[in-house]
Amino acid sequence: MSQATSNGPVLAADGTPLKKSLARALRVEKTRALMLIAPLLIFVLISFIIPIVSMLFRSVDNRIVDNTIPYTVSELAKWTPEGDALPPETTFEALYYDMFIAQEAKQHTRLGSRFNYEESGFSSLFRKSGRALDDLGKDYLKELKVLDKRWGDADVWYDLMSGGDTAARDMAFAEGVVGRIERLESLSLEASDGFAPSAEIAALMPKTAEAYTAFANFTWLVDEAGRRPGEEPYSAEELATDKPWESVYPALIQDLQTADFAAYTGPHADMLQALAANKSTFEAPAFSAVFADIDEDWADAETWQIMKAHSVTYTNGYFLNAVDMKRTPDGAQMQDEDKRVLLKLFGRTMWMSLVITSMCILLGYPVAWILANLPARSANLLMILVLLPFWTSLLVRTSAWKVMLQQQGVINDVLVWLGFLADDDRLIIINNATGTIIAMTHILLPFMILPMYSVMQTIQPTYLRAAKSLGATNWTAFWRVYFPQSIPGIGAGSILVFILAIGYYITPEIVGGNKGVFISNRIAYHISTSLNWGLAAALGSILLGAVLILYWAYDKIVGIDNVKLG
Amino acid sequence: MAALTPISRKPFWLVALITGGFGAFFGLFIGTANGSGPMGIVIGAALMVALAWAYIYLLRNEQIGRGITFAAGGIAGFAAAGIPTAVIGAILGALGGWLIYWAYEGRYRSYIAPYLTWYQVLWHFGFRAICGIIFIFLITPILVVLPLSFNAENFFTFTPEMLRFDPEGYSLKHYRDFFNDNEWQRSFKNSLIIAPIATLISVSLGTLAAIGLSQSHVPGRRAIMAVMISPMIVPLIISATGMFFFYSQIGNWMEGTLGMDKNLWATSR
Repeated sequence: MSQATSNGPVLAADGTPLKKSLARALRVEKTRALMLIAPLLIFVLISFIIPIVSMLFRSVDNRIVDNTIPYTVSELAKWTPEGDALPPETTFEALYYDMFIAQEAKQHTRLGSRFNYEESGFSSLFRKSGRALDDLGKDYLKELKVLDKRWGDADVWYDLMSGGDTAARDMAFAEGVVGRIERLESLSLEASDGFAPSAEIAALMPKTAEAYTAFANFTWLVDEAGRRPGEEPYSAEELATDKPWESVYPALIQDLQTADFAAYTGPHADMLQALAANKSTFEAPAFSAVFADIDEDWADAETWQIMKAHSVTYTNGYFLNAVDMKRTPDGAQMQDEDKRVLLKLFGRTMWMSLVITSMCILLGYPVAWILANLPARSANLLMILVLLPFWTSLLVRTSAWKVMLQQQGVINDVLVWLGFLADDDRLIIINNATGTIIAMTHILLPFMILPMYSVMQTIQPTYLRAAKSLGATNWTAFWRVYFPQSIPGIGAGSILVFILAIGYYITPEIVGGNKGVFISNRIAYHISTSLNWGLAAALGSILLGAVLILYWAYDKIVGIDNVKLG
Repeated sequence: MAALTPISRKPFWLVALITGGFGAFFGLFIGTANGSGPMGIVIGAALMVALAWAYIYLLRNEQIGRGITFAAGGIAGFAAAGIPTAVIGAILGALGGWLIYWAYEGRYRSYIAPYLTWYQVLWHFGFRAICGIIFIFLITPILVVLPLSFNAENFFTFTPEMLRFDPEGYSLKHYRDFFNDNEWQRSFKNSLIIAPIATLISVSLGTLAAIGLSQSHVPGRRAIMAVMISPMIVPLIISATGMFFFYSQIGNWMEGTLGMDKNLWATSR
């Protein structure tokens, strides 16, 4: 052997350095393992993790407010609530135009229900206001028609706003309005497919142009977009025959106060100039009075304060609600006494899960012991008694408990028949906490027995005999020798049962009644009945957080690799 | 299992204690059912002790003794309230007859270690009784639903006819409903379609992943395990609602953008 090879790196058979060769082998092995895992991992991530994360995102998502009434939100941001002072007139104006579009899109009721979660009354307030908004515009139209009949004609409005076929259009202006409709309707729209006002008009009377463009593009791109293939698609010609929304008339009067039409030469310049000449006959709209007229709640500073408190894009309001607090202009505060239910429910969920877990330990331990210590044949036979309930459908077992526990059920019938109970004095063990605990103990018991059993099987019976032959009593031998070795099984079973118990839904729903429900049932209620999905998501996040902490503890104590079910 | 311990006959006082206890226990139930618990205890205990004495000292034939108790229990039960009580009476009679000889011949000793003291023996059987009760707790609810499926009524309870074993109270009505009702058949078909597909997907993906995870070098094994265990620990309601929102969005998207028909699956069958 030469000097050079003995001093150089150790080589593998093919001549590469051994270190490199080993590293490559390791890399190949890791890649192969990951490739094998990848299909399931991707499947779980896409079909399970993403849906859950996107659902939990609803707990902070408050974009609905900004999407529905964007101008009002930015006006409210400028306003500092002080005592009973109402926000400035510009806020009312912003709300008028925001609400007008929203009610045409039928989205204002959704926003009303959003605020209604925070303070009841908003839902009806928004619905009522949406209905009454047309009146202001109708009044102005009447006045305008007195001056010139043509103000009521759809084609006049179209010509005026488009500035004729040859006028330069303001696409940026149209895109702004369409973007707003997109957010309102959660749709993806192309501004170039729709209407754009002439650049001159957009500069001269921005409010009118915006109100008209909103009307035109909503009709064109949303309302009439769903025509069937055979039908004629909506077009500019058809738009010229549709009367604009009533919001253009107050906007026109507002623009009239500031605009100077003297230099305007586009279509219907004469109408505008005649209007400017009679400027004094039109009173600028007083939006605060209009709203106060619709409902006195609009003249109440509290209404606006609540709206301001909840007009952020991402809110902690749902989480505060989930722990019996609320978001107010002055920061987080406790909910009113009579509305505090959720913390109590969280407490009850924890407490009942603890009781169920202890019951499972108490009942599961002897069974696991006897299964682990009987000869294999009889143990397998008894194992069926554990596995049969485990394999049976959850719904079947829960309904079985309904049969057992109800007032005319098996348990009560037997006790009455044996004379332990009077017929009119039957036990009430369903639709309350007792029913939930009994049924859930039964349903979760196999989850306790199986991990315990697999741990107890590994405990050598000779240890017990050795302890006894050294003079230990039965109790000492069990308590000092056997029990400590079985603790991993108890730990594994307990955390598993507890995790499953706090998230349980079906069983408490069926046998729990009012007094035996869990936080999950409240979540289901908010999802299917009250439709307050944000609060449901916040409650779900907290519940999931609790479960994850337990999972972490489980991983630390038992190790997730050691989960054995049978 | 072969016998561990040679057995010998036990003194009468022990037999009287065991059988008397048995009689007292069931006498209590029969007594309360008929108006007086204490009377039931006394009569039950006395009856059992008397029977034991008669069998051991007079009859001296196990086969006949157990047969008599079984038959007498059944007849007494039938005389009391018809067939259901006859069944219970016969079971109690068989049990009582067996117990007398089990105690007298010392058979309870045969399968346990010979060096156990009397209280260890007591604990041995006491513990088994406790386990038996827990097993009953585990299995009863499932057994209870079975006969209810033959209920002639639509109630989810045992009707008096069923308890009397009256054929009127039983019918195959619900089974007929199941096979004739389209609603049920559709659900059943869905189960038959979804279960194999779900099994196929989970077995194939699961096996691959299990092979992968069992390798000795897996980067980020804990994180991967956590993701894969998550469907088991995430509360049902959270995963259900998450999936509902997610898949309904996907469905709308497929219908709106890809132009797929939402009845695609329903019409193809």
